[in-house]
Amino acid sequence: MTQNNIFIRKITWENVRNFESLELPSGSGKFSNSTSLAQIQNGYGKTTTLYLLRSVFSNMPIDKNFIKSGYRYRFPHKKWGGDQNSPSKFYVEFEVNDEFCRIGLEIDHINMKQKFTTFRESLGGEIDGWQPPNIFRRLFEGKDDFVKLFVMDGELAKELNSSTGSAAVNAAIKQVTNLAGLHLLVGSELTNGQIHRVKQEQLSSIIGDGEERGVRLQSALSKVEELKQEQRMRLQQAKDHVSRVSAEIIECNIRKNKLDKKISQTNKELEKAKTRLERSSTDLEKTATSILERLFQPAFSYPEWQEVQEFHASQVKAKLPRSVGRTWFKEVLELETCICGRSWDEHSKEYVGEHLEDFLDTRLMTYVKEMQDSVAEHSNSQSYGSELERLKQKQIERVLNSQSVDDIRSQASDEDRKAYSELDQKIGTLTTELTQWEHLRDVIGSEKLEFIKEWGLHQFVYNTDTTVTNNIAKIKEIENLKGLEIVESDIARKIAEIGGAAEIAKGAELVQNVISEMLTRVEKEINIELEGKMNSSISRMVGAGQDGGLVVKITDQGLQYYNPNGDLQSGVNMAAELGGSYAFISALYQYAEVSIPLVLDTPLAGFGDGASADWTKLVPPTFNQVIALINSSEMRALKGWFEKGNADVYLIRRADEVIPLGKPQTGKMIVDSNVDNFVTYERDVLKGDEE
Amino acid sequence: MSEESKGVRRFHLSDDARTYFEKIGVQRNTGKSKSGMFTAYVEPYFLCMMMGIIKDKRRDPDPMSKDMVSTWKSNAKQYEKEISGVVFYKYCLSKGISKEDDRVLKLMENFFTIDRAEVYENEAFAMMNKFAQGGFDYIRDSLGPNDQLADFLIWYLKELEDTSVEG
Repeated sequence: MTQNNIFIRKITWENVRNFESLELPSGSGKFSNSTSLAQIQNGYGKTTTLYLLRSVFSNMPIDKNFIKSGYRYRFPHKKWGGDQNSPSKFYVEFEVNDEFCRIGLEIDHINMKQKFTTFRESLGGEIDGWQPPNIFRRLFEGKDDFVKLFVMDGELAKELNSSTGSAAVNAAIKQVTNLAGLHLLVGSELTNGQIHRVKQEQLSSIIGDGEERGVRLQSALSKVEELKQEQRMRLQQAKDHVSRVSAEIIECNIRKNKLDKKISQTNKELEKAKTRLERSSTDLEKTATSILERLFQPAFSYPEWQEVQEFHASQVKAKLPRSVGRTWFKEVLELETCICGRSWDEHSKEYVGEHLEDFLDTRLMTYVKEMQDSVAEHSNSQSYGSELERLKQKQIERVLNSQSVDDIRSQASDEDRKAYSELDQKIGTLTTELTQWEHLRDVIGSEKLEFIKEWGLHQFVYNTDTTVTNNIAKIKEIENLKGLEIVESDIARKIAEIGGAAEIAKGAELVQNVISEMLTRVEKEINIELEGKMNSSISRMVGAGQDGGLVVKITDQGLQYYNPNGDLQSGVNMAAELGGSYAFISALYQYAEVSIPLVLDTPLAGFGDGASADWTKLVPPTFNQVIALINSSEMRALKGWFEKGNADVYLIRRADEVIPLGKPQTGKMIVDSNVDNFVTYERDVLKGDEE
Repeated sequence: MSEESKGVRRFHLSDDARTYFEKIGVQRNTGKSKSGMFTAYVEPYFLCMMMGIIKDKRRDPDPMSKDMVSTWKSNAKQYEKEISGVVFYKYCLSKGISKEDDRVLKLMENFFTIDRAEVYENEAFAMMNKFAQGGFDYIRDSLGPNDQLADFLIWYLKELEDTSVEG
């Protein structure tokens, strides 16, 4: 099994709070692979350093609310080398599986910006952005809860044993095991996961409020089907009427023909007169139609056509649209010969090249060019007099032929004349009726778009926003079958969408349930594994394991302790709690197969100075590298231990400070590696406190 | 925005005009004419518009409850460019331009659409629809009730002839 090793070798501050410019350890020094104690007076920046370290580890920028003043250099003068208006810069040098890597965070208070920087040989030096080695990225990126556990303040170590700390415990487990992403998918409840949110956002507009939309659409679809059935019946009725009325008209005409035949027996002229009438009627219609067609030709129907031609001829008719014309000219210039057939010479090419813009116009539209050409092509063809005469002649011919037929028929008996008259009246009435039935037939059955548009047959098919209506009241107004089919098709599509969306929604719920169940089982297994690793560590510790034989479990109430009989121990001693917390962190390291430095801010704060002996026995032996930022009170508690050489010690103080007093707080901030100074720092202050 | 740039982008034949020409016959409304009929409503619209232009009669159109097309169809379709030539000429005259003038380029942009699926801008429709209404008024007042295409055409040709002679 591969063990990854990460060590912190140096921390650097520039214009951060009290630090003008400071390296820890200073100069060429580096943090060792054991325990380092950095003594910093309260208020000098221990907690600030903790937050910056967490950001550097997790690639999560600092809270933007604190950019302006939270990390800014405090002193408004430059006496000690700091600058309040310069960005705050914080760098941590790492050794990640033997590779050097420096990650920085630069905070620009003026422009309210912050950026990470990374230095690695493999990157070619320093670059903007957070680009540590992959193992570092995989372990820490975005995992702020996990990072909090090893860049930790003393209070949190204590809290892990309580219900308030259970959230941190569980969040850290999720992040270390990479299950946090799956938890985001399913959420802590059925309605707050990403799957549910996506389902709501993407599918609710289709599915609507519950099943209500589907029911409404089904109802509308049923109505459309019912209306289609009704209209089909009406269409058939209209067609039947058209056939019936047409047959009746034919019947009337047959009867008229019979009467004509009867008359023809006595007057042979009738058939001839009828043929002439029929021919002249056709001639008249043809002539009228041809003249009507000519009227649409403006060169004929507009008396001032010549002025129109002259007007357009005077405009920019010789020009080409610039968008296409310039390319055209260039192509012509590249030909061996001009389009006129002559070979190009340099002078001609030069002339065309210089003057082509005269023939181009940006605003001239292609349509206008076509229009101008068309106007120019059609010369005046006004011959109203001759057309008038032609039409009048045909009209007179028809009237005369009609009169001729009427005259012959008028020679029939009174009874036959009456029959003629009745048949003519009936044909007139039937023709009107036929027109009405034909119109109804076309209103219902026509698919011809122009007819549909002319008669507004689809005005109820569409809403004002051009979407197809699903409104039953509007649907009822639609007579045209094509219109009803459009509505039907639209509703069917929407119902299908709902069906599809509902299936997707069911699938999403299933996925959510499966992931949720899988998470429960996997986490149970992980907890068992972590508990195994924890208890393996604890068994070697004083207080909980060696002395008390306690077993620790990960529960919703935080870490809980059980005696050998399996009874829950609600009040364990401080050493046990301390051991439980660090054993849990150690177990996480083992699970992640990595050795990570443990950085602690006032580590004894949660447990009190009395815990120092337990702490020295538990923590340094459990972790490969420990960096503890301590105050003078904690230094005193740990004095007997570090004086035996168990830890590297660094005192961070201002240059002018009198060591036993820790005052005055003036002069540049420095790192003092003198052990005597480390031991005696703030001695008189602490003595005063004790007295 | 000018008055003319408002309105709908389509031809407008008032309901009264529709009814008037349906007596002759339009499309499936066969009417009573024994000498032929119009094949689409855009045909009487065109004849009304031309009459309005020729007689310089125009006014805001009366209501229209049925829809109309927005491009020249039927018999008018093949002469679309020439018809555009006339109406654009009339449009320029209304703007005080009757010969070569750089302002014509600007007027083209107001009158013709750059979308080749359509031809005219709102201003063009507004002008044509006003002439069509004016022309219809003139036809109805001068010709009176009529249900024969041949009678209508004879009257129409006579009007053109008279105008031509007067011109």
